[in-house]
Amino acid sequence: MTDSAKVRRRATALALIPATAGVFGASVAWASSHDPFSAAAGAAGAPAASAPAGQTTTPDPQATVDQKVTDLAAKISQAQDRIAQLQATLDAQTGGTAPQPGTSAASKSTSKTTAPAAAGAPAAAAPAPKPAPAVQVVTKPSGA
Amino acid sequence: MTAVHARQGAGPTLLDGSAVLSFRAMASPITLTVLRPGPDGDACLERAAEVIRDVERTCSRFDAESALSLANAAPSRWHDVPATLVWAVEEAHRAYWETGGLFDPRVLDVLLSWGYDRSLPFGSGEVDRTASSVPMTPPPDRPDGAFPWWPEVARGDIGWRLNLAGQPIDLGGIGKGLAVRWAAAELANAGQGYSVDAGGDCAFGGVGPDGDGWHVGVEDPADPDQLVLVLDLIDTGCATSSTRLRRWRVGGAPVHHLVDPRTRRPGGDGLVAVTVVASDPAWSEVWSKTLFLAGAAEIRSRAERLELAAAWVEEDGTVGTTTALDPMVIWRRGDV
Repeated sequence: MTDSAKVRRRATALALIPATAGVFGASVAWASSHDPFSAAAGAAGAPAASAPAGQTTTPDPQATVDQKVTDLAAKISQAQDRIAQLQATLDAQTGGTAPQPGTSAASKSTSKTTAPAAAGAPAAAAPAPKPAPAVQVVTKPSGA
Repeated sequence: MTAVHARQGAGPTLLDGSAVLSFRAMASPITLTVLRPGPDGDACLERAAEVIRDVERTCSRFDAESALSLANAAPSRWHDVPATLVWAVEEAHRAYWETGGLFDPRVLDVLLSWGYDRSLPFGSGEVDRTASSVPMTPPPDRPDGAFPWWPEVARGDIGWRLNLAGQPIDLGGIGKGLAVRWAAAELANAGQGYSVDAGGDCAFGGVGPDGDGWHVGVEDPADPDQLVLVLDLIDTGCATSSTRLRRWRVGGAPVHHLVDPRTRRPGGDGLVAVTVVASDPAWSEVWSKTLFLAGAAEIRSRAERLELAAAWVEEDGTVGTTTALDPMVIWRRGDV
């Protein structure tokens, strides 16, 4: 092969590179516009990073999953806030007389052996009653 | 915790570092305890026991030969009496005025009219008495029971003289409280602490056998084997007034020994027991008895107004405590 032929062949190859890249890029763009997973994410209203004009991009599945987890965590937080609001409303309606964990409904006073429940705390199962400590003397009716 | 045991009817017993003397007086079991007694511990216990027996001999209305019984037999006359009876009457008179007349030893005539003229076997079952001939209402010249009580005492050449101003009296409750006070005074220097347990009336000196106070149970009047509260007491007195034991029937009608002098009827509607913790055991007795008369509807307001450390048990089992008592409560049964 002459030197001139080699030069022509290289020039042709170099000329074909942009064309190949263009065809490949067009294919990717078409596939992206017809990706059902990407469309679903967009319909959910999740904020997506938009590609700069004139550029094409592919959706990141991991980023989509992380976004869903974030959304669910936000909903859980909202539900917890709502439960706290409802508990506060219930306490207000019962005038603070609703039985609380650690207190006796029949008790007319608070002793240091009973701990008041934190406001808004969810009801818990009553703990087993503590046995009486050993005593040295019992006060009782005269003559007993 | 140091175990403290007592042996009935014997001299002081040393157990687990505590000297204990138990005997029966004033219709109640008495237990005197001295923690880590000093060299005079036993002698102090014997003197304390003698103080209690002296009060019983002097102030019992069930002993026809006691100084009180002799004075009661002729309440309008002057009598030569021991100093113990004079001190007891003076303290009862002080309690009468301090409580606005709610503590009134003159309700004896009501108790007598209900047949409580002797020590009745309350512990053996239901007691039924027939009404006696003693009038149950105040004499016509002293209507509504609101007449003042002025017993007189005088120091004679050979001792004390007493005039009960015309009406017999019952010193049962305050007599036992005073016995506990005076017995406690005898034990004050007997060791590193003491307790005087006379049933409903108690006194405690020092910080208890384990150094964290005397742990005192408050009996459940519905079940004497159970407690409703446990208190942590240091250097104080304590008394319980209850209808659990001293209640009986008169002609089928239920009565008990805590008579309201305003109505001359059984007092304390809705209550079964009242416990008061006060520095002096005699005044613990005075306040527990008069608080009882307030009844379930009024006891909290009255006890709080007087700033008393008090607990009470209502007929439905409800237990109430005052804000002054709450810091002393170290255990409360879960269902009360």
